[in-house]
Amino acid sequence: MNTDQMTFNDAITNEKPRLPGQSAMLFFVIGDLWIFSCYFACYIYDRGQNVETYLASQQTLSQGIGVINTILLLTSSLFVALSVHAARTGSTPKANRLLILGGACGIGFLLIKAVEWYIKISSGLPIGTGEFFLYYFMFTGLHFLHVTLGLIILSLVYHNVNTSTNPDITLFESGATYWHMVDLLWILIFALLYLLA
Amino acid sequence: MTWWLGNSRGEFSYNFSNPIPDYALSAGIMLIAAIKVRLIIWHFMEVKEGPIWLRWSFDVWLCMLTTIILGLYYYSL
Repeated sequence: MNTDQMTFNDAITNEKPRLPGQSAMLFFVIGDLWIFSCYFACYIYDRGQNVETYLASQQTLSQGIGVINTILLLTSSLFVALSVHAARTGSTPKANRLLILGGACGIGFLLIKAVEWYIKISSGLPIGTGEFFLYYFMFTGLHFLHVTLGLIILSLVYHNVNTSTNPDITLFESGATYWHMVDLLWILIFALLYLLA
Repeated sequence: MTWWLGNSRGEFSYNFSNPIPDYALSAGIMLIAAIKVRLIIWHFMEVKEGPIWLRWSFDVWLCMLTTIILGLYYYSL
């Protein structure tokens, strides 16, 4: 068996420090976080050169929509974390239900984000209007792609749990780790784009 | 809480008798965001159960990100 792989029963009995998921996924997540950090640093630097314009643009964003999306992603992360726990204890039906709920919250996030973009663009705001909105569409667009990829990964996990006689818990944990990264990236984007004074 | 702090100009704005300066609000917003991120990493991602190099990798990243963002923010004041 691959050293990265662990069955549901192994996960219950193993109490030593362990990687929460495949090492490749963890390296990917850490690398992705560093790449986003560089984007965030560029944004804060450019914002500092023209604070008033950025603040004026920032005020046109709806903080209410941002809060709803934050709650949706945090709830989604909670469902996925509980789903991993349920899978470890061998409760596959419960794990499935929680995974579906987590994915549903993710789809809700995408729909609300699409509505937010539609409102912005239909109000006469072309995507290239001002530096702030270039950053806004870049950050939220990249994040949108991450959420979409996360939903595909969660679907693969769901498929593995339901079709395999001995489901791979490491695959489950890897998918969850990616999904939690999507959640924490949104928390940072929300603070930087919507809230910073 | 982050939302409440960041709402000084938003559609759900609050009123303080002595308004908090922007630089203090921004520091509060970033620090609360960093705490939330740390909680997600530690508990949802279960990094707390991982080997020490993994815990340090995430903690170093988060500390550096928060320091760089706040550093660049205050540099531009």
